[in-house]
Amino acid sequence: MSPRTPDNDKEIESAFREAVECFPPPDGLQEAIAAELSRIGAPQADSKSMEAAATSARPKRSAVRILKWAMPLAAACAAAAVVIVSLLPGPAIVQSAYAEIATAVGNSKAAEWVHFVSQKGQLETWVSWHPFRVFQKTAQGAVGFEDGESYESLRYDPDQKTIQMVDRATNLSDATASSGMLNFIMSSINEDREQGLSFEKSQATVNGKKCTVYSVKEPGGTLRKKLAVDDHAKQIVRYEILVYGQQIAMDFDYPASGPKDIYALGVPRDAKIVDNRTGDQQSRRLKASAETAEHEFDADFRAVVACGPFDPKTKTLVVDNITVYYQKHHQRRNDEWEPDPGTSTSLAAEKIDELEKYMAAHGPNRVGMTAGGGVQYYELLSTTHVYKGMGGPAILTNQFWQTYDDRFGHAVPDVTGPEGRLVGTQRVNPAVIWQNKVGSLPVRYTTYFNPQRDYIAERDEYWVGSLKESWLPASERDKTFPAVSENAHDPGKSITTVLEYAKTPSGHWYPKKQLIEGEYQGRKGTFMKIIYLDTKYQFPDGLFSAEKFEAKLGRQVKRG
Amino acid sequence: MSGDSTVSFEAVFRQHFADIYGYVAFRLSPQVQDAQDMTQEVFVAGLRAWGSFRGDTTPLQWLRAIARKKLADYFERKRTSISIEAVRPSAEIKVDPGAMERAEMLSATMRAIPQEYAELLEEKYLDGLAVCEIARRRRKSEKAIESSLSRARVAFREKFLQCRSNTGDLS
Repeated sequence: MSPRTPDNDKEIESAFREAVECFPPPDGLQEAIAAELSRIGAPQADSKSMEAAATSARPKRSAVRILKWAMPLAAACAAAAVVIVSLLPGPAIVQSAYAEIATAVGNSKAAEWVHFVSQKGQLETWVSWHPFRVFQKTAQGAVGFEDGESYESLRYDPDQKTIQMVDRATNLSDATASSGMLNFIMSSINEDREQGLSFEKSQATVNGKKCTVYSVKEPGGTLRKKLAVDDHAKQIVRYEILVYGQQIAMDFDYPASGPKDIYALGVPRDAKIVDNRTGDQQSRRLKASAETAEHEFDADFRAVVACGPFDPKTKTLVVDNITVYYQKHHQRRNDEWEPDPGTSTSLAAEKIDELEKYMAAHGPNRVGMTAGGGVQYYELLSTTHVYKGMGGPAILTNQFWQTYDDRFGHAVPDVTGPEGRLVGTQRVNPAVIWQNKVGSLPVRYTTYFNPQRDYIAERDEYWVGSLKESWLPASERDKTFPAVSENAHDPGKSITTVLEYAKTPSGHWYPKKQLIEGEYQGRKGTFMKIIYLDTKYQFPDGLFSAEKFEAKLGRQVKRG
Repeated sequence: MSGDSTVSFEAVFRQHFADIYGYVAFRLSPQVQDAQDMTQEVFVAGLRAWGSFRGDTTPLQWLRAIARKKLADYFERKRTSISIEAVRPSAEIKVDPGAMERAEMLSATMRAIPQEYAELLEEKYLDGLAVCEIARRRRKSEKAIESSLSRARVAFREKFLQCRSNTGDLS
């Protein structure tokens, strides 16, 4: 039986706690580490009792290997004449060495191109920032290329003699990708400083350049790492470190130009190209734009969300649920309307005015707001329920943002969308069947783009057992149909959902409309959620004040 | 509270040794063989930095933050995807097999989601920090943290399901 997926705060918390408890320390480990700590010397620990503990309970299993940071000089540096010009033991001097290293890392990151060789020549990397490009080549002839302009990646496989063209991961920020190694070096040096390690400075010629070499040493004098900085350009030239007994050295240089293309790195011109890119360049830009907007959505807003059955012919939404989300700084509030059955209101889907009138005429059934350390919910204007420590009222992004992961498939340049023919991408995921049970239904994802008006929509179609649905390949239908029909998957559930995005006047992408054809909240038919997002909303005074709200309710409030 | 006043590092070591080992082993699982060295590294680093402990977190949170950094460096260096079927834990570890399976899947999930998300989830659910505290530490707004957390939870759930389906167990 598989582990259950942790679904809420309590379950996630419990899953973490249980996971940690799964791994009790082996016998003797604590004593062995205590002995090592005693050997190093504990400024505040009672070293006598540490020693006592260590001798009275010797490890029953193999003791932990003592950390070995002894780092032999790398071959390149061994050839260089190292002349120690100064020993820098004091904190102030550590500070100045640290500042010099930080400047050098900054200068290195500012270069037009950075080229570095790592893994003893096994891997070469070139990075440029404007535009963002990364080339990599291994000693075995594999070549990679990331292009920040076109959001494309190329991967050359020398064994297959093929070049794979794929989308570049848009969730990888340029800054992270390009300066990752330099950031890693800086954070490592930062950690050394925080640990109070000593920095020594010497002069040496490294890779033909006169350099200042910063050596970071353990309290016992053991060398931990070295960093060579070009005296003239003040850029990193070489970095050496020993990690887990393995020496890692990287040599940096800063060429005026980098590889023109992958062919300049030895990829044969006749290598077969396999194009797995999705959509066109404009589509990829839009996708990246929407994804970035999702990650950076941080505006104050009021969002009115109306849900209910939708008539596609009359374009009328019969609203049977309205939620208004307010969010300002760290304050949030949800007001919910749930009309009694039979009293739902019909309105044209594109008109918020009617919704506003309805809300003004009917008070909310339920209000939730953050108050102090917990959340207060007021139901039917009569009872207060206070929940503590379980988060606040739902935020909009929790409810409606879709994830883009794995949605983009093969390009379909002429799919028919709500606005006629649009560019788009399509991907079919087959069913997951295990022991004749359907783990997940086949689904076809289509994403439409209209670059002319920044339009994005997503359509998810679930195959629920109808042989008429031609988009599922015959082989998949044959495989899936028996499992679906025999396992009580009710045809007609969640057939299709369409999510359309829109932009606020302030330029925020947000999910505007969700159309569900199939089943929604236990009912079959066509349903719609429509979101009116206002990022310029003027919040009334006291909107987030539980006290004021309670005062307004007067005696109706009872603490629940 | 600081490193040189009310609490000795020895006391912290004794109190939290099992917690730190468990955390490190969980994050490394199923390749728990490196957990012993890593745990030692955490306490050695902790010992050396104890003088700078400002007491604005609990000692356990502080040690776990050190462990988190060590783990991040470790994974950065290894750069190898650790298959959840790759290595089983040593036979002498006696725990509920179901709980172990869940822990390994959780560990695989945490490696599969962006590191920023993993750290946020740990701060929230393992360290038990409130959103406002995470926001203060990261110098971000609470809203931004809440928003990131919500995305982290979505990514966590998706990857957990994916890891589960990768094991072929969909029951």
